[in-house]
Amino acid sequence: MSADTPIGYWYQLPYQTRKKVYNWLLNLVLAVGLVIVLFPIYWMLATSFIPPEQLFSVPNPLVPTNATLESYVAVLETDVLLWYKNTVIFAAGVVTLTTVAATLGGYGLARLDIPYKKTFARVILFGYMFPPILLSIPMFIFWRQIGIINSLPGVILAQTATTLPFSLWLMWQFFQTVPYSYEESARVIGCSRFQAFYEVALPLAKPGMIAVSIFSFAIAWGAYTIPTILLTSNSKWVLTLGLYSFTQAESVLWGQIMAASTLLVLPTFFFVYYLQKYILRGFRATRI
Amino acid sequence: MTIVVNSLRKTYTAGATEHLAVDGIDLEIGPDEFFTLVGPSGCGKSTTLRCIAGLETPTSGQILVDDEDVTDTAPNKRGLAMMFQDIALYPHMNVIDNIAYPLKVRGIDKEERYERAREVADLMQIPELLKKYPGELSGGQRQRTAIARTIVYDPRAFLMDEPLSDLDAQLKVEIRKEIQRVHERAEKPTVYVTHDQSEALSMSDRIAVMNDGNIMGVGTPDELYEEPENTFVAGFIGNPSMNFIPGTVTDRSNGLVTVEAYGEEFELELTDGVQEDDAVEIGIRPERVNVVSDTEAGRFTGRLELIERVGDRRLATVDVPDGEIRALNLRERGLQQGEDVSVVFDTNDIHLFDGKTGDAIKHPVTYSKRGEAAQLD
Repeated sequence: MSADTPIGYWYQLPYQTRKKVYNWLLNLVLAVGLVIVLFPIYWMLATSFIPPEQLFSVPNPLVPTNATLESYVAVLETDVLLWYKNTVIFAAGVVTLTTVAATLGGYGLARLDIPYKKTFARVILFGYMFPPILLSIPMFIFWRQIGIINSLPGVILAQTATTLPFSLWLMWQFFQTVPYSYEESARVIGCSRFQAFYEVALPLAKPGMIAVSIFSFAIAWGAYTIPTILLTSNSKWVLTLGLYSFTQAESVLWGQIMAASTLLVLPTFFFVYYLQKYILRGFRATRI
Repeated sequence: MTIVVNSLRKTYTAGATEHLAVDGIDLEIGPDEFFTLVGPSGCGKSTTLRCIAGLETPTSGQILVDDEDVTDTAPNKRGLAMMFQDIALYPHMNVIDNIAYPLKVRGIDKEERYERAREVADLMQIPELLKKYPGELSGGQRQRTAIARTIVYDPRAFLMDEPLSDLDAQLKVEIRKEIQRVHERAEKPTVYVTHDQSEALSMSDRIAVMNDGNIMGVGTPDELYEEPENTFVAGFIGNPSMNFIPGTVTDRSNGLVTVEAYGEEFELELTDGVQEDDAVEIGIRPERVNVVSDTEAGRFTGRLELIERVGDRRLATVDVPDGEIRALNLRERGLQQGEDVSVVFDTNDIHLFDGKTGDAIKHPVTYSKRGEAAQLD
C-alpha cells in the first residue's frame, strides 16, 4: 500500500509505533469514559462538603474551598443510622435468600431430570421483565393480608422476587459449565448426592454465586419502589427512602442529600472491591 | 470378586423417540480378570459401564457384584472405583486431598487418610506432587493421581471409561502399563472401556466386542483375532482390518468346498455349513497377503493404488473389482504405485463367513497351532 492515503501512511509506520498510538487511543477512550462515570460521584462528594450557603453560587465551586462537615452533622441528627441498619439487614437478607435459592434451584434445573425444565428455566426470565411497580401493588395487598407489611422480612421477600429470576437463570447456566463427571466420580467414590453437590459442585460454582450476590446486592441496596410501598413507618425505612425525606415541601436540602448519598454509596464500593478478588480466584479454580 | 450382568437393557427417551443404547446383554467378569468392552462410538459400551457403576439405571436386567444384586443400589454404596475420560480430579483440592477424598467421605480421620494417600502416591511415583493443584499437573501426572485416588480405598472392582483417549501415544503406553500394574497388584476385576481395538488386545484377559447395543463376540485376544465369530468382530479386531471378498459356493464334494470369487476358485476343507449357490464372504487378514508385480502369479489382479509405511512394514492397497484388498505381508522390493499387480495368499489362511448373517463358517487352523506367532497389531 502506498503512503499517499492516510491509511497507507498509517500502515507504513513501524509496528511498535502503531501499537503505542493504538494503546494511547484506547487509554484516551477509557479516560473519557471514566470521567463521565466518575464526575457525578465526585460532584456528590464535593457538594457534601460545601457549606449550604455556597451551594447555589455561580460559578459553582467544584472544589470545596472551606470544607465543612455541616451537612453530615445535619444528616446524623436524623434517623439515618437506623435507616442504615435497616438497609444493611435488608440487603443482607435479599443477598442471602437470592444466593441460596438461586444456587439450589439452578443446580436442580441443571442436574435433575425434570420434564420441560428448559422451557421452565427460560420462562423464569419473564419474572424479571415485570417492572417493580407492577409487582408491588398486588404484593402490598397480599402482604397486608398475611400480615407482613411494614416489616423487613416482608420487604426482603418481596425484593427477592425481583432478583431471583435472573439469578436462577444465571446459576442454571453456570452449573451447566461445571462438568457432571466431577459429581459422578464423587458419587462412585462414596459421596451421597447432597455431599457431591456440597463438596464438589458448590466450590466450582463459587464464581457464579459471587456474581449472583453482587447482582442482588446492587438491586437491593438501591431498591426504592418496593420498599417505598411496603414500608410505611419511617422507623422501618431503608436509606433510599430516608434520602427522599430530605426533599421538603418548599426546599431541597442538597447538601444533606449529597452527604447521605455518599454514606449510601460507600458500602457498595467495599462490597464489590472485597468480592472481586474472589471472582478472580473462582475463575482460576474452574480451569484445570 | 465377580461382576455379572444379566440381560441388561437400557433405553433413553428423547422426546417422543426412544433410543436403544444397550439391548439385553449378558456378561460375566471373573475375579481378577481384566475385561474390556470395545466397539465403535455409540455401541453402548460406556452405557454398560455406567450401569455397572450405578450412574445409569438399567431399563431392565440385573447387575451382580459378588453375587449381591446391586441393580437398584446407589453408586456410593457399591464399593466400586471408576476412572473417567476427563479424569475428574477436583480442581479446588490439591493432589493429596484429591487422593484422600474417598477416605474423607468414609469418615477416616485426617492423619490416617493422609498417611494412606502418601503410600499410594509413592506407589504411583508422584510423592513430590502432593501439594500441587490438578491445574498445575501434566497429563500423565493427572492420570497417575486419578489412579491413586481409585486404589486408595481398596474398591471391589475397577471401572475405566476410556481413561487413555486424551493422551499422546507415548504417554498412553506408559499409563497403560501403570493400569496393568495396579490391576495385577489389586487382584480385583477391572472393566475397561475403549474404542481402540489395539489397546483392548494388548491389555485384556478377555474382550467383548459391542455394536449397536449388542455383544458381537466375547473371547481372549487370541480367540477374537484368530477365530472371530462373525464379520463384525473379524473386521473390528486387527489393524489394518480384515479383507472381505464376496463369493459363491459352486461345488461341494468329498469334504471339499469350492468357493468362487472374482472368477477365481478356492478349494477349502469343509464338510458342512454351506450349500451350493450359498453366498459367502471370504475373509483374509492383510498380514497374510502378499503383493507381487507378476500379474500371473497371484489370485487377483488389480492396480496398486497406494503403498504406505505402517511401523516397520509397508501396507499396500490394491483395487479389485468390488473394492480393495489391503496387504501387509510384502516381500517384493520396488513395487510402484499405479502399476498392475497381483495379490497372493494361501488358501489355508482363509476365514469363511456366511454371506447373509455374517456368522463364521470356517477359520484357518490357528496360527499358534501351526507353530507360527499370531501377528497381532
